[in-house]
Amino acid sequence: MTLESLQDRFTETLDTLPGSPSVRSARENAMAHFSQVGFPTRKLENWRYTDVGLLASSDFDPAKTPLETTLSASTRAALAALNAGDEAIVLVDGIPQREPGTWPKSEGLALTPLADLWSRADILPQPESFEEAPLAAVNTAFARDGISISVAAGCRLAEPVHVIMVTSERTSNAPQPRIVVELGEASELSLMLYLIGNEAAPAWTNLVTQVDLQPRSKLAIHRVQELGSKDVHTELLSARVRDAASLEASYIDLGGQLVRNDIVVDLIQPEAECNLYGVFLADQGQHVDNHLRVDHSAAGTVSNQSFKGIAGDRGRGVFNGKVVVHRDAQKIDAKQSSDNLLLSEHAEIDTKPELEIYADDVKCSHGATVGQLDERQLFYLRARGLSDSAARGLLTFAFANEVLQRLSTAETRDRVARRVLERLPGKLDWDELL
Amino acid sequence: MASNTDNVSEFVAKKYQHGFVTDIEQDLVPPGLDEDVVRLISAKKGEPEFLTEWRLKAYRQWLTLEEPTWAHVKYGPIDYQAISYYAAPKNLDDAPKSLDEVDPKLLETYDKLGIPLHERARLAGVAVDAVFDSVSVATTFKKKLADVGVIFCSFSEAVREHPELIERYLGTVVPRRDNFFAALNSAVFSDGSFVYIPEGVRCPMELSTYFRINAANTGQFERTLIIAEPGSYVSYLEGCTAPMRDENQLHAAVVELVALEDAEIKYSTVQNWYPGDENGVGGIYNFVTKRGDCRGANSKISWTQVETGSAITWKYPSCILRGANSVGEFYSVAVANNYQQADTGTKMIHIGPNTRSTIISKGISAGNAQNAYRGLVRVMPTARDARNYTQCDSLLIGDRSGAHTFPYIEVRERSAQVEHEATTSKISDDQLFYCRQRGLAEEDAVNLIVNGFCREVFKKLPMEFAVEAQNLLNVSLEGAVG
Repeated sequence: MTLESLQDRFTETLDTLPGSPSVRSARENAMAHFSQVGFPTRKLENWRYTDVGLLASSDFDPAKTPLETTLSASTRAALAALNAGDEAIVLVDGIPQREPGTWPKSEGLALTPLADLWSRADILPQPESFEEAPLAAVNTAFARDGISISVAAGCRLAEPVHVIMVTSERTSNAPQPRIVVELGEASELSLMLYLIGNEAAPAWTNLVTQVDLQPRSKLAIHRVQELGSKDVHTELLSARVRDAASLEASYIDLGGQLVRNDIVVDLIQPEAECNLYGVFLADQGQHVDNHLRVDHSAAGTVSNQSFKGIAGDRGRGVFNGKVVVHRDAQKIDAKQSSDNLLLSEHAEIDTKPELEIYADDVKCSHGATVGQLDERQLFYLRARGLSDSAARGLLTFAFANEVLQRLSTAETRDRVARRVLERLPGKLDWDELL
Repeated sequence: MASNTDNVSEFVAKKYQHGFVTDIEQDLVPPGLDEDVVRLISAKKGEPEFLTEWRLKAYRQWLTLEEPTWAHVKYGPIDYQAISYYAAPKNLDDAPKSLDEVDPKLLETYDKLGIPLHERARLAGVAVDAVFDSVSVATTFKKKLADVGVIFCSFSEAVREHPELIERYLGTVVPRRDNFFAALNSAVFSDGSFVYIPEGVRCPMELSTYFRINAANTGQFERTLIIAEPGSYVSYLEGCTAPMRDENQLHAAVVELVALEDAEIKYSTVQNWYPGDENGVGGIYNFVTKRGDCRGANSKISWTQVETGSAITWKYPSCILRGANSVGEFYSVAVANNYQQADTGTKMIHIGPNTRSTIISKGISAGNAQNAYRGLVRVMPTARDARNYTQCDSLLIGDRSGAHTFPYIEVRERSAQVEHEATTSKISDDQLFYCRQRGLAEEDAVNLIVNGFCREVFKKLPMEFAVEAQNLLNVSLEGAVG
């Protein structure tokens, strides 16, 4: 959808979008901002390796009004296979599927559809976050609904909350969902987030997740993306981490044709911490771009970025991580690593780990590698009777598994491991490996 | 560590040591740039037609380019019409035939810089092609070099005497419209050095040029071209110093290296141009395009640089690894203090199979300085078994300084192996404590640690340069840290 038609669609649908007058004006500001900057092009340093021109030339329509949709049999099967339990919160095209009354109940946990909240308060992001991720402005302008998850102070939830996002098989589908996570002081939450697509109709999902962590709270987000092979996925995770709070996020990208994840974390108070992990498998012309920015705005903050990429066939993987240590933010510890395997002749890896440091008492390091499997390790396995493809599959899997094993529920871990193995040479059996 | 701030201000208060102006009459073209000025420069130098045309094309291309803004540096707009594009010492007509005939004031200048030209040339066996402002005035050891067929002369002389070589190689590594500053240089380049090493010759001595910007408000646009024929070897040294001026001076040089089969070029630079005063006023803008082309198989190009000067540095000595098994190296120490800004690094473009590159970069930032490493490693699909290793470390001295690392790694060949490592930290308290405990004064301890930090690069420099570089570093860091 061209910028002009996007603007037209916005004007047409603004009145039907939920929210108070302040939300409405935030939408207008966002659209005005986007009208100025337009779809990002490769001329922008932040988009140097990823071309989203596809979005402007396709017929994806973020303004499309949601319908009562019935999910196809294959999507239902995929949902069932997730084994996420009856309590999982399912959003179809960004719209929560159940009455809030039937959502999981747990002491200290509040789950609310965003459309309800928006009519009461202004919780859309501030325009400054658009600088890093211009497409978040499109989400702000068009978001219809989503879910707010908040945990009361001191409350530590034992069980993870499962959120499943599904796209329906409508044409020109472009859901703009939003998730808001707020953790009270010293609370704890683990969030499992699944993105499921379909092969029948390509969709553009443009997700925004806002996270706000109060002092000493702990959040783990595990996001598993298994979209269809023609889907476009763009996402912004924007987090503010306060005093001694910690954020862990692991991003697993298996599907999609064009995937761009922006993860922006601001460690705004002393001793705040974030650990960001990722692994992607890009083959058959897939393009996966992980774009990270961590701001160390306060003293004693700690960050760690560890991303692994596997590019095969005509796949292309991009890592662009940035650590910014602000003036007077002393005693900083920041690590970055980007390790990549190139498995085919036509695959490509572009990696750009950046450090921008304005304070002196810091310990910052980064490392990046691009290579292929170690011949000696292959030989070792071959000598022990594994076929060439099994040896390659096993070593590649081991490379990815460092991130996969962080998934907090065993079911998900096993399922994702199976999915990964299926796509690697040798097609090893997960249960046998165990 | 408590006296850190005091020491830093002491350090910051250090005056530039090479700040003096030599009073020699200059032949100056009035400020401003248009096609007539380009023609005038070309005419003054008596250049052949093809070069005049080449300059004019470059000028026209320059008009279509925009000044790059992506570097991590900040400076006010440059008025390119306020710069004078040509300055030559007036007594050029009766040019010196030997060192004795060189203007004594000029020799005095070199003495102040600590480069006793004749002595150094004799004792160290180094031929010096001294570039004073824009025209070469003395070239030594030419005969000894001529005996083995090496051509080492000023660029203008090469244009007069070897136009065929210039025509063949000029702009083949850095094309005219490569970037804004390269295009500007191509249009108005004043002079520089030319080196030609014939097939199979190992240059009998290290070649050296000292650049020096002297007149106020004149840009210096050097152009260096080095050609190493198959199987040859040359080591080339370049040193730069400029006297103190309050207005910023622009320096936009272009260096082109061509290494054919089995040839090796080693290019070393010590750059200590005037960095501006403690308030960031004045200083050189150093916008340089340096690139080496490993055209032949098994060729090697090695860049070593020690950058302590200039208000702003914008410089990325690069290697195009075209020939099979060719090797590119980049060793760099960049020191920035006060309000200096440096955005420097390298590009290694792997095209040929089995090409290898090594990048070792050490950045030191003190005071309010900003020091950025920016490097590109690109492996093309044709570069089977290409190999790169990159290490860039930054040392921070003082809490107002900044150190930045922007590596770009682009790999399109699966058999390639690319590794990048970087660290940023201040001088470790443990190391300081260890040295202090063994009786070293704090300052000596810091010097020791900093020298150790840079050692990997210094040891790549030719001996005389290594000593100078180490001295420069020690002087710069005197009292810098507690």
